[in-house]
Amino acid sequence: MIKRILAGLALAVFAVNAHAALQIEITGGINEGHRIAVIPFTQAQGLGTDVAKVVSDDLTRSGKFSPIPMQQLPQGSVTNGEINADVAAQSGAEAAVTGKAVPVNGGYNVEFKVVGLQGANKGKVLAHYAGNAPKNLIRQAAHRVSDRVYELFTGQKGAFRTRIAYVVTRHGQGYPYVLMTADYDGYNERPVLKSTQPIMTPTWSPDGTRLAYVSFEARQPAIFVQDILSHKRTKLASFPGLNSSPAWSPDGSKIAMTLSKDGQPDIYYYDLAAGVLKRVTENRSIDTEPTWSADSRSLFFTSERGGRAQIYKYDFATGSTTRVTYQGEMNLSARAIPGSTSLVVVTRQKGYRVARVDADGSIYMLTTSTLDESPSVAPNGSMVIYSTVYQGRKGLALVSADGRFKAYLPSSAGEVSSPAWGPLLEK
Amino acid sequence: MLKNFLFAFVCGAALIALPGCSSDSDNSGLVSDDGTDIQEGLDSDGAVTVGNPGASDGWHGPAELQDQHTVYFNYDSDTIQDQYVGVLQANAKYLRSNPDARVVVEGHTDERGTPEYNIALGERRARSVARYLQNLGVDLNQISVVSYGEEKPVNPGHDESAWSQNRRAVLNY
Repeated sequence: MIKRILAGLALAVFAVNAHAALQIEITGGINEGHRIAVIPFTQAQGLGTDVAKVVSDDLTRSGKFSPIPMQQLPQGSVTNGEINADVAAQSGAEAAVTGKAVPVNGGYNVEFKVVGLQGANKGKVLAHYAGNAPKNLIRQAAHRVSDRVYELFTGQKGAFRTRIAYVVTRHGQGYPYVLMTADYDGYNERPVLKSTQPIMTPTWSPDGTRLAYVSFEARQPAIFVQDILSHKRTKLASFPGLNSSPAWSPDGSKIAMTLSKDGQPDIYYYDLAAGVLKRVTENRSIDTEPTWSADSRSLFFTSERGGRAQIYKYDFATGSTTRVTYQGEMNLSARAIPGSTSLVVVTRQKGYRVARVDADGSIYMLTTSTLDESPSVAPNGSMVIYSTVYQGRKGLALVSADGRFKAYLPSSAGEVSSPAWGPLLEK
Repeated sequence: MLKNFLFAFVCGAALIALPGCSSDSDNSGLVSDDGTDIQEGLDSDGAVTVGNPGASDGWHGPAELQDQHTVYFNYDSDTIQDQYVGVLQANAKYLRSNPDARVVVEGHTDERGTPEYNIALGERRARSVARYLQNLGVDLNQISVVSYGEEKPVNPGHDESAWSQNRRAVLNY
């Protein structure tokens, strides 16, 4: 099972860069969630990746787990890589993950077990998987372990094998603006586009093969679609005025955008199959930041029609527009949280912060920073990536959708902005 | 009103993926973006490259306007402040006496707020300047506007002194 999936990944991954330019720095999080002991894997010296550490970091970042440090496990909990449930149970952990990565023809066989430690599950094998991976995809294999563990405990798909896109800006370079993709944790970074002029708002096609983005390469904003592997680019929109904020619909059929060709910025969408551009809003004030509901049947957007910017929702079936946010002096950049009725927004309250708006309209602050922007939600709804200014530099940060866990992803070079979380590529 | 003039040039650079832009195909719009002069390549690391890294990205214009090409704005405002009227009058005078000259009004914001919203606010600032120039008798065909939002700060800092320098419109030639 794992084998087939990893082989599929191999096609999509090339020239893997072992050096991660983004490094996760954990800044907060409280000891709730599933207490789980991830035991160091029995693994070959030359593997280069600490599989258990990748798994433990993944689970921590989701906000739904509190991995237990090895030193908190009583002596005798692990013998030859096997867990002694009676001893390990004293740590209070709910379960333990054990595993190994052994060389097989040109790659590694990664095998792991989840063993229950408490109550009726004590000593019971709750999950047991194995599969092969080439050496350069060991991190992917480790993320696959995390996905399995995450789904076992939460009932939701894990999103640890997803890619993110973002823009790195290095002033003074020949090409100061670089559109990058990377694993969600910053590893395996690969450049997609380098430009002398700004690049904004990358958005993924739901199949993960293409990115739409705004490029100022002609000293005017234009929306492009680029195939990541073939490098082929298509200019989608370059009207007079704004061509901004592209948003690919989850069903893949449309790209919403903001254009000001007819006066003020309004929302439009391009129907990819029909090849037609349709206008959605017609308003004297600013309408922008379109974003799709999970079912692609409605658009959320930011509008100044009521005075200060707030979030509105346009329903395609009825053609009606309703105001969604009321709390907070301004709300911007809405993103639907998959699997829920909540939205992530940037709200203005003592600065600009990432917040969650629940179906009853209540607003819940997820961050305490002041210059947050561009939130993007993991495809399983568990985490939000956004950009913020941290220690005098713009960079990316992660917060779990429940606000319990936060981490900065400092970059080794330049300022990082416009993160966009890519899709889950397997069911 | 500038708005009406902006309406007229919808199809100059339309969606190229569209089969056609039937009416309104006036190519003399404010934007002449056919993309053909953009240098494009493929880097050894697999990235597509666009633009000419050797090209200057600064201000280009007549020497007499060397010190008079930037208008600064208050936070969240597109109102032209009195102290910059002189800058606009100097540019208007130059444009009136040089009918072949073309000005690009570049609108910029500070980094507060979201990039997509700031692009819209930057356009509002650029249009405010364009409208002012028009009122000073400049031919609309000499003026185009572009908003860079918060993407091209003149000061890359993250504090009020940087922000006040970044909330601006630049009259470029």
